[in-house]
Amino acid sequence: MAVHLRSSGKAITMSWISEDSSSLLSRFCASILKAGPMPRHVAFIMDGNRRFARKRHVERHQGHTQGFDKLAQTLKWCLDLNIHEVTVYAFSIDNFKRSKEEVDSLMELARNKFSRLLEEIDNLKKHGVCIRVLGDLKLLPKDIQVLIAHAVVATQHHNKCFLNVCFAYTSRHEITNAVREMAWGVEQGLILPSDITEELLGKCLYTRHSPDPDLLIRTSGEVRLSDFLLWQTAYTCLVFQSVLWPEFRVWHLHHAVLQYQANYTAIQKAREAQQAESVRHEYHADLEVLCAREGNEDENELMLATTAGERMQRTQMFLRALDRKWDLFIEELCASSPVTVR
Amino acid sequence: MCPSLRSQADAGSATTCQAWWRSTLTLPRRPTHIGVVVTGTRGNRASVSPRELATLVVWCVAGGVSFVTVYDALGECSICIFHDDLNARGVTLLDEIVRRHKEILQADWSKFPLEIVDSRWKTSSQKCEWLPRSLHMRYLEKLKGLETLKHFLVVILTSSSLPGFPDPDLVLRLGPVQSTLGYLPWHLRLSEIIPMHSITYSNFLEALHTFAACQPRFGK
Repeated sequence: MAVHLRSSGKAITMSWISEDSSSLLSRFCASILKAGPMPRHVAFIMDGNRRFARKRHVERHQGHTQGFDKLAQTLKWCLDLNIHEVTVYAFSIDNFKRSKEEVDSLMELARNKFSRLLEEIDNLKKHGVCIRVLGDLKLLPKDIQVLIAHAVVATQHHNKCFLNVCFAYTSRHEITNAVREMAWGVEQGLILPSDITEELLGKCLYTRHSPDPDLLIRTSGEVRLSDFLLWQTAYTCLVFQSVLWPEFRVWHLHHAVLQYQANYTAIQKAREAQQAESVRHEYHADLEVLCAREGNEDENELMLATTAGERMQRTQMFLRALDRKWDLFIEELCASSPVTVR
Repeated sequence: MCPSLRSQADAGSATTCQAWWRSTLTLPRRPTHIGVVVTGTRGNRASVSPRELATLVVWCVAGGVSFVTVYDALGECSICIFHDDLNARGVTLLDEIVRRHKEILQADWSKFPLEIVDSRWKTSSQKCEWLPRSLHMRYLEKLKGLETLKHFLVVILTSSSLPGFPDPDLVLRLGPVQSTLGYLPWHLRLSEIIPMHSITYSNFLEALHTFAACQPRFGK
């Protein structure tokens, strides 16, 4: 199966990031906000598309399409605020329980948008946008897996801003997968059981190349995480807003950032305490390994440093092996269906 | 919520006991497990006191909640649970719960027996006769490092939740910080996270009403 994209020969308007210029007022407010601490990474639960469609008396798929357009606008507003990493919850594994008609229309929307992304690749390169798709891609139709693989490969070296799209994703599935990977690592002799730490688990998640989100915004008034980034949002500022996602405006984003700033000091303090605890745990784990090897409990600084260095080397090799597994999966998908532009 | 019920509840009137119990019975949806996440306090107060936490626990009992976990996110509450770790005043959370249990529920206290299990997996010395509507409580000190990870690995590998505890339906976030600060990440999958600005019965009832109005869709 080959993937064919159309080319009209004309300059293509970006669909994934809006190129509309922001108003003077919103740019002015953004510059004020940027005087304070700013989130580097914002996660969105884009909820409310179907309620919006009911409210406007249109079909559900139109609600989802408007939701995608709102994502494009929101990415632009984030860039205006120097927020260079955004993660969105596009499709949960639980969403497969919806009616076949709705699931099919969401898959068709994904097909259109990922195809469109490949047509806009030059613009994405110009803006330095790296697209990552996080989830159990094997649950998706094969042609969508192929499109996603091509999109990921085409943008993988871009490094100005990062869009992580959680698709066929749940956090519990992600955490379980991470634990399986660590078990595989032990089985392969790449890591020791004592190398398993909270930090290593975090590096085995789909989001391992991103920092944890600083701010999470959920629209439509729901006040739960719905199996989204449960591990990564332990120290994230959670903002729940009643606006429906297609009606989300730049002021809602600014308001959320203000709440992040109001909570910044307290959350930073808690996060630093947890990180200090993690470091203490690593120290004690290294000490235990050293004691077991040497048969005594002397805390020899040099030998501890060596043990720690060996642990870091093992975990780096293990993580590189995980990256290679993923790269191989993506390469095989791309090879199975090359992209041509007509 | 009825304004007069709110003011009577906050005044601690004994006659409101039946009234507010009846008001929770009419809610279409009630939580089975409430997680209380203490993220700090507002104003100049140093921490949430054992008496306040005990009062909240007893309200949970009266509201038909069967499981309560309390998480001291910043480690500032300095609450001692049992007599083997007494604080300077010698008052433990358990003492306060037993005291408030009788003060608030009065003649009805025996209808809501307590069984308190702490994070060390021990049952309290105040174990009551088992009845269907008893409360199970767990106090979670700041889960640290390997403890947290071991906890998760047990959960994931055995596909079980907190042993004997369902996942929290409702998380009451006490304090000004808009974060769960590491409270049971695995278990928070579908929990409604509702802020409670101070421990008053009207705020508690309002949280229950907000919870009742939430409509989980489970992805559908």
